[in-house]
Amino acid sequence: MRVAIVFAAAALAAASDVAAHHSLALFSTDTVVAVRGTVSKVDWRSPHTTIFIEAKEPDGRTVEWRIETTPTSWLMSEGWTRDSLKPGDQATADINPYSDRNVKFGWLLRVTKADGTILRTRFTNRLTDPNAPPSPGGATP
Amino acid sequence: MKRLVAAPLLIVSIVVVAGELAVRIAAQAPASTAAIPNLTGLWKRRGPIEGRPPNTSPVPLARARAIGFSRAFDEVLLPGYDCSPVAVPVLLNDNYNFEIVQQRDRVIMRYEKDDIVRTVWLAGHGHPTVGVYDFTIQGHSTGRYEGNQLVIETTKFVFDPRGIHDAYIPSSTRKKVTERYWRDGSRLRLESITEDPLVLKAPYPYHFEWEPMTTPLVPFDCDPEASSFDRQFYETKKYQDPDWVRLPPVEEP
Repeated sequence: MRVAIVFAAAALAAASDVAAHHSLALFSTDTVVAVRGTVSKVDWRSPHTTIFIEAKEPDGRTVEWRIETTPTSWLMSEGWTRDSLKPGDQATADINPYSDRNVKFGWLLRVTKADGTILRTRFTNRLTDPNAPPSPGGATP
Repeated sequence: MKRLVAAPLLIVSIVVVAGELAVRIAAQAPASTAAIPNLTGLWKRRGPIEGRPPNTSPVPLARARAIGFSRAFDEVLLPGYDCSPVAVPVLLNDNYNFEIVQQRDRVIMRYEKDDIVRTVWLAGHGHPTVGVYDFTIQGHSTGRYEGNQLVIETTKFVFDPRGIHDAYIPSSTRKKVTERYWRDGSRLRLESITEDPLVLKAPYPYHFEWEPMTTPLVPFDCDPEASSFDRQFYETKKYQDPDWVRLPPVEEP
């Protein structure tokens, strides 16, 4: 497992930064962390589908990350199905982490499976632009 | 003599009754079908109308009391954490698909977002008027066809802490939202105006467009645990502050 900060840029988590039903102010939108490990559970639901990934810390401990993403309808519009990600899958999740790094919690931007399959979300464009509105269409500021 | 007096009275009565019946029948009759645009269908969100300036935030239009409210408001108190649905115009600004079903006397609008169903009562069909105290989350919507447009006016909203915008710009019970939908080729277009004199200094416009889709709407099925989980991570806890109820002073922008 590798947890690495792969991108950092100036950004503000504004209250208008909506994700289906609430602000994303909890998460450090100026930081992207790559969580690599084994999917332990997927809660396919709305307003947040939640993905759990067991990953190893640098000290060798295994921890479980709780990674939130968008409602099921938004994932389906990006090509996901209920079976896109299953327990046991090896995957890397690029996330915006929760501001307290001791809490293994984050907001999903993109998943890359071991076979190279990329699962996009409406927030994948934030890998390159932390201020980008969710696609498609974009919400107003 | 009696017959001579009674006959004109009878004729006058028939004319009066017939006239009143005609008025009532006219009031119940649907608008001419020739003037009704076909908006029925499933619509996929595209975003703001192409070629127009982007929609702007309503925050610059907000009165000082609304700005003060938004600064004091605690995120964890949002009704959305309890799966409570949003209302127009916020509903229009969210990236979800929806369906329009046009019926003789009403228009049904079903949204993926929060599984919301709105009923728009078409004018001229004798629907019961809304009661003085009938305030609801989605408000009371009436509609009419004007040319190629469906015009919807919605009032009677309850107070909503994010009734104007997700940045906690609230709406009062005086909010009025006017939506105009029309077809432009295969696309569905909307212009909306939100008025709320207690909150906004000027009407707040939105414009969006959709394209037809064939896949069914995806049920939202809001999960209360998933909806409320994030609350525990907010550290501000403004609502626990005894001074929280004092809105911070804000100069009128």
